[in-house]
Amino acid sequence: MNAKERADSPKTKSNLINQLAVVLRSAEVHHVKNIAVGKAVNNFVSHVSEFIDHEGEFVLELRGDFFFVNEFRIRYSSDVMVNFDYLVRLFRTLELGTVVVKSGAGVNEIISLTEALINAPDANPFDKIQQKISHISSLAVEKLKKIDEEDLLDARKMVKKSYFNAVSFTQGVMNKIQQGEKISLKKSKRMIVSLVDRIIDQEQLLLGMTSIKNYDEYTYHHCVNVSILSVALGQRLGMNMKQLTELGMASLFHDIGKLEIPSSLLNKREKLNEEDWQVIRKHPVEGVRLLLKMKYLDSISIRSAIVAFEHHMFYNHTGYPRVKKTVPLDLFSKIVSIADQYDAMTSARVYSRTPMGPDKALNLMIKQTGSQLDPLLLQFFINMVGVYPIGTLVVLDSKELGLVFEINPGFIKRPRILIIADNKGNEVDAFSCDLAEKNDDGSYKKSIIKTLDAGKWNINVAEYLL
Amino acid sequence: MENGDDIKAAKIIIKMILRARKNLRLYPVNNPVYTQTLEDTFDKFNAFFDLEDQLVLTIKLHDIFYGDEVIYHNEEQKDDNLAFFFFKDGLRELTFRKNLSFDELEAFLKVISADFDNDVPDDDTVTLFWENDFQHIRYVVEDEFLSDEDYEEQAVSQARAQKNAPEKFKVIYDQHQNKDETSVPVDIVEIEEEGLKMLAHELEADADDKIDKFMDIIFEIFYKSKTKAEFSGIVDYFKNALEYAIREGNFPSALRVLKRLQKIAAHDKVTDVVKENINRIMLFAGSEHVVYLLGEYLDSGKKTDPTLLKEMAGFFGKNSIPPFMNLLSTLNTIHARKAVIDILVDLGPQDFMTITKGLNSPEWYVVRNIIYVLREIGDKRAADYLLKKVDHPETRVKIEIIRTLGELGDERALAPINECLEAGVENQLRYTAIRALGSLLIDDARKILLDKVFDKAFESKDFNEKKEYFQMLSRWKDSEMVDCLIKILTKKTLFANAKVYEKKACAAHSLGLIGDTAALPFLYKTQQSNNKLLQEYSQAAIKRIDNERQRKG
Repeated sequence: MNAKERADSPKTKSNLINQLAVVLRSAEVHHVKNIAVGKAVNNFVSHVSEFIDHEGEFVLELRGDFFFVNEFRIRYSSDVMVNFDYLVRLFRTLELGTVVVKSGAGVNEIISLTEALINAPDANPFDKIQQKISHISSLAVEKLKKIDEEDLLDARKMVKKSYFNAVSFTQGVMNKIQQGEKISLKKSKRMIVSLVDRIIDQEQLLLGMTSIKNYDEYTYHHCVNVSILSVALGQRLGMNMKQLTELGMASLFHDIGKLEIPSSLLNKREKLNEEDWQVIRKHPVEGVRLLLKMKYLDSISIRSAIVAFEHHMFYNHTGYPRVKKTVPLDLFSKIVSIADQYDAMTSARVYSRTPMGPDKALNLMIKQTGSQLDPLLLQFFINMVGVYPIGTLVVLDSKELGLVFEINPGFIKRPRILIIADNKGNEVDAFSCDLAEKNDDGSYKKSIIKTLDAGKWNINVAEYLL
Repeated sequence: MENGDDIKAAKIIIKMILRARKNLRLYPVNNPVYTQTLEDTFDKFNAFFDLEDQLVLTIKLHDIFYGDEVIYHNEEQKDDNLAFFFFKDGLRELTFRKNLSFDELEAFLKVISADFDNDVPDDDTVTLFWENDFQHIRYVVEDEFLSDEDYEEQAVSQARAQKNAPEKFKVIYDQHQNKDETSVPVDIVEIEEEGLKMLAHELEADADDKIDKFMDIIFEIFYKSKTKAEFSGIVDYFKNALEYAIREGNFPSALRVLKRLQKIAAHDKVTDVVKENINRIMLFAGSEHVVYLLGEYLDSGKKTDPTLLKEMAGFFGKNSIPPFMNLLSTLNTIHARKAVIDILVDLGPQDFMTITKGLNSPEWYVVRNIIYVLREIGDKRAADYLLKKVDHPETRVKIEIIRTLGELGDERALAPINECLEAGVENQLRYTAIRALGSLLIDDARKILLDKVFDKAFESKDFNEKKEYFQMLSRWKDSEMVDCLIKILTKKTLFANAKVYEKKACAAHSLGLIGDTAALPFLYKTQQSNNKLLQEYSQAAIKRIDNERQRKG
């Protein structure tokens, strides 16, 4: 790879963001003249200069939840995730949208930028930063742009369309399989690609769709929800496009074995007895059988069969099916297992009409960490769905009642919510409110004081989220 | 651009893409035409980027537009039509941006040249573009065929149907607002360095082939099977898994499965049903289909471990011998043929008669390979079949037959070998015949060799051929042979010419090879000869005998 190709590679761009974050993080701990900061600055300057030599300038912009370098969207991978999250948070706190580093920027200029960012005050931070670096011609900053409401509305429409297309498609596929008809895997894959693409672009909006539960068509919604949650988690882990497609397909078909379980049993309203459970526990093996009947063997069908077989086995192999030879669970199976549990717990099902609140479900899942669920993956999952997952019913310090409808990646404990009842308990026309917004004195305008169980109160979140 | 240079450049790019599609399908990656096509296409893109920063192509059913200009038109509704090819998969716009790398362009061209019916039946251009995650190629796609507007409308209204009664909020408010409680949210934990390392490790391991894991699952289902129908189903899974492993060249996995199945079948408590089903899998492993797949993989030139390959083929059983023999006539690479021949050498003893049928192949090279296999197997019965083929019209086959007959040590071979010693016979075959006599190591063979040596015509033979004769004679390490050679070495002649000395030098060489010390006094004498060749060969023989003596102590 020559220098030009190197500068142009996504890895180089991602590394530059990472190095900038290292500079700022070390400057938060040490004085800017400290050797650790100096080393980080030197490293950044050396790489950014090489980049600027070929690209003209280094433009780092935060748009929505993603960074763009010279107009290219940079994907997160696990090795840079911590620093990326830090930088997103810092940019949002400082109301900073873009940093431009031009030719001629050296160590002194980057130190000035670092000082301006680290020492920015709580009130009007961006203006102060701009003022401090205004004399440096090789640097420029721009304020964080608010997301255009119309764009957001369009995005919501697209996400909603993708979601319901996926559910409808899944329903069609499952029906065909049940009737022994051939299905087009080309079309299934295309659907998954479309869905994954949407997850990459609008992760939070699509995650929000998973909180819309449909009791009557639970099976299809569940398949799609598990697929969305799994792919979103896979993306957080830094999987590439091919892996994400495979994960999307495998997770979509994880419960396919249930097609072989009598519907009378799946829809049984009474508590299942041991005999019933024995039949239900056959669905992983039946899943493998169905998948292998569907098509010739390739990497996707192999992964799908593995996931179908293992998704109830649990991290410590105490689940089902029981096996003679214990081998570590597949990464995909562990991911799907988390997504499956979360969606099942937060959905109303035949044998459990009251769904669990998302936060309650997460708390319960934490208790199963290390036994049923992989601790590290669960941590990633929690970081993804947030402290207050979409659909969580909350009470604010303003005494208003709200519903979480969007996670704020920079401020995980301060999501965007819809106020649905005023401070006297009267229903209002839902309106959005960003809990990250501050008063002039730097204090937050509103905060969550507690969460409530929307399921228990029979609140139909779909009325607000759709 | 006003002068239209960009339009011309865009048209050239379309032409190059069409040519690339053709050439990438026709030629293998290492072919110069393949690489040249890629380089030419890359150059044309760069020529365009010298004029413009990006090339945006709008795709219609029969046309490709650059701006308002139609730069490609074709009304045929088949994949050869580039516009139709893109359009049918939903592509509506393609953008190539400046700084497009060679690798990215190659990946793009590979996608559009793929055999979608056979190589990637579950993919289309959009899914493959997407998986490539291009940085400088963007595309707009229409996914209408995935849409179901009615469903969306119906689902949304269904989901929103249950209205939240206003009084509900009042109840919630009354029950919760006055209580002094705060929530305990789930904590977000920063992922530690150690965790990230573990994850990186897991992701790396995840890239490995999953076939082993999959095989484990099939075994588990196999253990759980009870009915005949269940076993029958499992047999198919094993077959598919084996087929996949062989197609992918994952021979270690295939071998592990075969070993495991054999172990199960050998277990005392295993029922006949299980044994019967395992046998079906084993038979499949050695089927023509699997052997063909193996051949395809071997012919692809990818590296394989020969020991592992042979061990795996060992499980294929004798029914795999005919398909392996068939492979010999279809394989293109030496590497693949060598691997198959080695497998046949290993499998051959299980069904020797079938191997001999290969001698009837119309392709001379297959016959030659089979003779090699027979020789390596070393079954003396092979001579019966080889003697029938000794008149094969292809010299290369004949050479192989003569050599093998010699090594098999069958006296009946003497006559045909003797025929090959005649002056008119091709050099390589003649030499092989001389060596074959040496391999036979019987008195009649020696007699033939000596008769030739004492024949008048021998003197006129090439020195190397003479040497070959004497080299073979040295295999008879008895005093009779030593005496005979000394006689030749010391024979006095009135008119000693170079040819006479050549024969004497060969005798000295042969004595050296035999290593008998009785020859030393004679060799000391001949090393004083005026003839340089005899001097040299005598010295070498003395040295050899001395060394041998010292070695023995």
